[in-house]
Amino acid sequence: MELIDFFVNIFSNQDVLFKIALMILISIYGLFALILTIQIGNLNRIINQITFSPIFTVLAGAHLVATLALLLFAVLFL
Amino acid sequence: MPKAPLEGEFILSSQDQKTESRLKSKNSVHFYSSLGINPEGLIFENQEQDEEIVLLVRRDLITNVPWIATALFLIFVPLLVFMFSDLLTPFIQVSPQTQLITTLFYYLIVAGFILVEFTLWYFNVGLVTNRRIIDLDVSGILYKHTAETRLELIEDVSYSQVGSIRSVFNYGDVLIQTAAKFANFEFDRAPEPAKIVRIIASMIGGKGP
Repeated sequence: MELIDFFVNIFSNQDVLFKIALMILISIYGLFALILTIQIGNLNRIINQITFSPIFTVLAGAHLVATLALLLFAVLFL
Repeated sequence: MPKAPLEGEFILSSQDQKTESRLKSKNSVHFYSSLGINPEGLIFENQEQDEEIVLLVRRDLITNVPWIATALFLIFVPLLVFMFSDLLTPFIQVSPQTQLITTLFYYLIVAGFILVEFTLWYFNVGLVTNRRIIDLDVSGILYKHTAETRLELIEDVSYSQVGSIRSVFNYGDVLIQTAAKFANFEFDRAPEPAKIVRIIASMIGGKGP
């Protein structure tokens, strides 16, 4: 009975539902960001433009770190 | 009186001499360069010791306009939503914290979109070296295709420039035909296709278009 009440509470509160959906989406996006970073690293090995490739790798890494930071922020503060 | 047929070599453009001189010296390429002649500071996988890159070809810079315009539009969408937030308030009731995280997540997605589109443009390259031609196609984050052929196997090189936008911005498709059993190469939407064809043709011993 308590379990049913718990789920009823969740589904009746739009904010809680929104938070759960947001965390799931950020997690999936994190996976995408990880794949993107790995692929950019691999492609930089195929074509290496010495003046820009390191910057590009850092940009991709920053994107991944930002995603993980947002996920952490969402889990801790929502 | 019938005129005598024209003979001799014609100078089609005064830029030929400029190209010749650029071919002899190293030129720096930027991250936004779509055509690099004798590029400096560029190496690729499996590059042989005395192999030198003669041409770096990407899609023309103007072909990036659609995704840049889309990204700019997407950047301003939250402002539009904010302007009409009074209309949405009765339907969406979430805490300010959740709104903040949602907005940050949205901008992260926009950043991801820009990163992916730039990656697809940046790594879609054609390389012409003093020994071979390499074509790297990246049409998605999880799809890449590399093809290469030796210069001796190239039979013909040509280009097509169809449409007003391509003519105005001077870009087109360069087609490199190899012997029948090998695949043909295409540098899609390459800038200054006539110059690219001329350089490759001079390398394979032809006279170009």
